[in-house]
Amino acid sequence: MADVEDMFDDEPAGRRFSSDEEEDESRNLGTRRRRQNSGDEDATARRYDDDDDDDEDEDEDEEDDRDYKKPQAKKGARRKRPRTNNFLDIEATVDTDEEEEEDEDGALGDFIVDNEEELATAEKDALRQRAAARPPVFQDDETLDADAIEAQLRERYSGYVASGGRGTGSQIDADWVPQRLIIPGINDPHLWVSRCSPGKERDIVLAVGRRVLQWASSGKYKGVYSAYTRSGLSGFIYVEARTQADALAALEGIPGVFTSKLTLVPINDMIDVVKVKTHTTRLNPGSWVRVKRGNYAGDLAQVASVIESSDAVEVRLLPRLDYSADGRRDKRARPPQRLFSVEEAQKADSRSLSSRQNEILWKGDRFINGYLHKDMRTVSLQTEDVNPTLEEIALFAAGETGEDGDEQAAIAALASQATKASSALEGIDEANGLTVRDLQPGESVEVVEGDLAGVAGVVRSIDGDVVRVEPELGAQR
Amino acid sequence: MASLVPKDKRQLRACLICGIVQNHHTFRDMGCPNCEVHVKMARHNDMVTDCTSGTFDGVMAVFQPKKSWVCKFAHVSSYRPGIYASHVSGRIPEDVEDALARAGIAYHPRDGSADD
Repeated sequence: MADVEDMFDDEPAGRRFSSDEEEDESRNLGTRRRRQNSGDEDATARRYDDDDDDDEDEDEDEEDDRDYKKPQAKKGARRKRPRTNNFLDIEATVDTDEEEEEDEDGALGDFIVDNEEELATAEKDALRQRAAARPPVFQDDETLDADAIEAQLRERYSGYVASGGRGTGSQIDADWVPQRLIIPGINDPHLWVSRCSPGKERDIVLAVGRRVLQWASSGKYKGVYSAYTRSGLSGFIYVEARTQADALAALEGIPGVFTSKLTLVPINDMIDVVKVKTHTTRLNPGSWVRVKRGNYAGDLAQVASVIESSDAVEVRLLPRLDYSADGRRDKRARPPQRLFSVEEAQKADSRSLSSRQNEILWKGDRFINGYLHKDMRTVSLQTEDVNPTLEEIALFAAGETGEDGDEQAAIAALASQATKASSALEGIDEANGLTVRDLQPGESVEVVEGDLAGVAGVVRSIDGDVVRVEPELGAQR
Repeated sequence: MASLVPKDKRQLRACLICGIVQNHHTFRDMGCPNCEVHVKMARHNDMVTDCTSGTFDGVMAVFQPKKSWVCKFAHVSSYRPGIYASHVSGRIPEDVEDALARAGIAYHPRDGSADD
């Protein structure tokens, strides 16, 4: 009968399962973790064990274990007798199975045996899932505070993290607690605030950092946990410490800090200090900005494209070029805004002139459709309250349609080829979807906002940002 | 470990994954002390450009990350002491995010774009 019993035993995992059950003192998930990690040399799981959990967490876990252990205990006991299954009533079949197995024949016998094993694994999996999915409500204790929740979440989800090659002493956060649960408690250090010279906040944080980290071994600053500042809080420097004396020790002597103004931040205000609100103005292609400094200061510009993972964007400007030879320019007066003129550029300095696809390069600047395209850092652009006036937009858009003027005609010829190329390019580059420039007359569109929402129509013409759409018959109300 | 604080005031960049602030050349030469195992930045300048950002805010000097509430709130409490930014603009490229996910690490953008 030894063969039969082997059949009922699952693969080695099953055997380990039973032995673990007896030895296992820690959390149920620890069992799962151990099984997972048997093949891996990873200290991560063990590290979670070592984490400083509160005592109350241990107690809660014991309770969990008691709950979780029940199905396992049952299974262990059951292993002695012929296996029963929660899903199927096969007790009868079991007996017949044994007889058939002795025949060493019968495809039917094999079939049932295989099913047995699969069902057994499935049953185990289901029990495990049920146990793991048990909601915290079932734990009989009062409200858990943030620390306890964090520890539970961490432990519950720790088994889900595959073992990676984690560096010693540092790891990428595998358990993320949402900020709204991280409320300062009475055991957390206090936050102290001091005034300082505006603009020097970061320098001060760096100076405090250097000082504390340098003297870390001396223990002089062991009461300090962090130093912090934020650009919205100009002139303020924050230090996290248990006592005012500790905070003072960290700050005094650093130039620019007014330690006489050191006060405690009330607990309720602590979150406001650290929480940063995102900039709502995200620069998208097509948005209007104003150049802050330089030759084009104050000029309206349009974002042509956003440069990935950098704080810069490519903007379109009406060029202010001085085509006359250098030296004659009055340093004070700026050249007026005018589209780029190939002829004048040629007259002035033809050697610097070259063209590439639809771009014209002259004196190091890029011109597309007569507009200057420049990469500029976001900080040097005014993105809020740009408020472009009608005149400015009209002036800007005049270049698109290419009206009267000889030079314009020359550009228009270039432009017509350029527009097609650039709109095709933009269609590829566009990360955020189609812009108005991608639309061609004749395309079908649908209105999404406003009282005409839902109306489908055909594009008749495009004029800068405005698209003229002729609604389809029958869609009108 | 004297170079926990960047020496140069210019060219400061923050890692998009862990938020540590270092000089650009430090990222280029030595990578990110917390993330280097998963995101190889050392001697890969394009990775440095993709996975760090020059736009960051909320600069904090971290001395005791595990015990500090500020660090817990800014999600840096599992990292080494150093200078960090609580808010970093930008996101890592998708392929890096996928690579991290395959290693079992969830990427949480530090620019406030995710729901917290």
